[in-house]
Amino acid sequence: MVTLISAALLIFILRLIGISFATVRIFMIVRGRKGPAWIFGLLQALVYAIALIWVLSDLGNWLNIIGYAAGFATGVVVGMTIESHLAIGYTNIRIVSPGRGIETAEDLRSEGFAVTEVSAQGREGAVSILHCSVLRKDEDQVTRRITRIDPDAFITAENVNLPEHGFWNN
Amino acid sequence: MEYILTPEALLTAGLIFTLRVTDMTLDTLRVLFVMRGRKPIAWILGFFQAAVFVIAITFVLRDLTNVLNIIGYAAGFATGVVIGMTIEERLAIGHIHMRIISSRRGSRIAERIREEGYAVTEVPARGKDGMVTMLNCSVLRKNVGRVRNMVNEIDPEAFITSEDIRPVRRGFWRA
Repeated sequence: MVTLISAALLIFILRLIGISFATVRIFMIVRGRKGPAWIFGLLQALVYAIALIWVLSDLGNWLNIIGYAAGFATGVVVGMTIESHLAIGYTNIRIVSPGRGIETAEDLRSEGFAVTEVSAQGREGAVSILHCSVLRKDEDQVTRRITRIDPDAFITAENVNLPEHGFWNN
Repeated sequence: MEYILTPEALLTAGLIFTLRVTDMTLDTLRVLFVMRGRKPIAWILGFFQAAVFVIAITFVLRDLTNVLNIIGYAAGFATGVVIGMTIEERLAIGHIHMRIISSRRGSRIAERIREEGYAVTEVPARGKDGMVTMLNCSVLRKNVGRVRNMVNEIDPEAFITSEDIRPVRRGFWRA
């Protein structure tokens, strides 16, 4: 029984590691990062090959199958978590603020972020649209600052590519 | 060691490498087309990827019992990913929205881009040191480099970002 459980556990762990790498690899593909995509692809394939020799060929009992599937699913989530911690790339944050656009812009500038203000019209009158391009790892910090000043601000974020020149707060 | 380096063993490892490069190239392209919502191409790529994989697993992929084969397998996998990404970049299918922020030369940039036949929308905006111009320009992905060069010629300090978009209504696209 003990060996049975440990075999299933080993399958779980190997699958978890392999699929974590696979998930990060897909993120790197989508973001166009060839170097990291290559490395994570290599790691994923190595883990898979080792797992195949060691235990993966033995999917003959239920416990192993459960270990396999649970490892796969957990690996996807772990990979997504790793990717969000790596936070490679850039984000454009768009803020629509009815009353406090200028204050928000000034606050972000005082922290060293670059902000471009555009005046616009909403249902209740004039609003400001703020565009702020930041490193992805600064996204949370910026969002927190904005909501502290203007809890009503409408914030969206999107991934952007090929930053050229301009001003990045490093 | 002698066993590993026989021509036969090298050939098997090479075959594993080649098969894995082929199927991972197709797999990577498929992921990128799925992301852009291109169903027919995704179907075709998925079909061929699966076909190559099934053939590979029947013939050689089972035999991962020596180090050389494992290296061939992993290197092929990783290289396939990079080749797929390179092909997709060259194909450059899709549309890109470029946002250009220029402190002084916004209207000159807009004129220059329009001369070349691209559509630009100018928006006056405010930056840290006063008024700036924000230019919105949606182009075919394969034209991004050309537009970027035009902008850099006029204002090397312009701030450019780009993002993938899907055109909702056709509007004006320079072919």
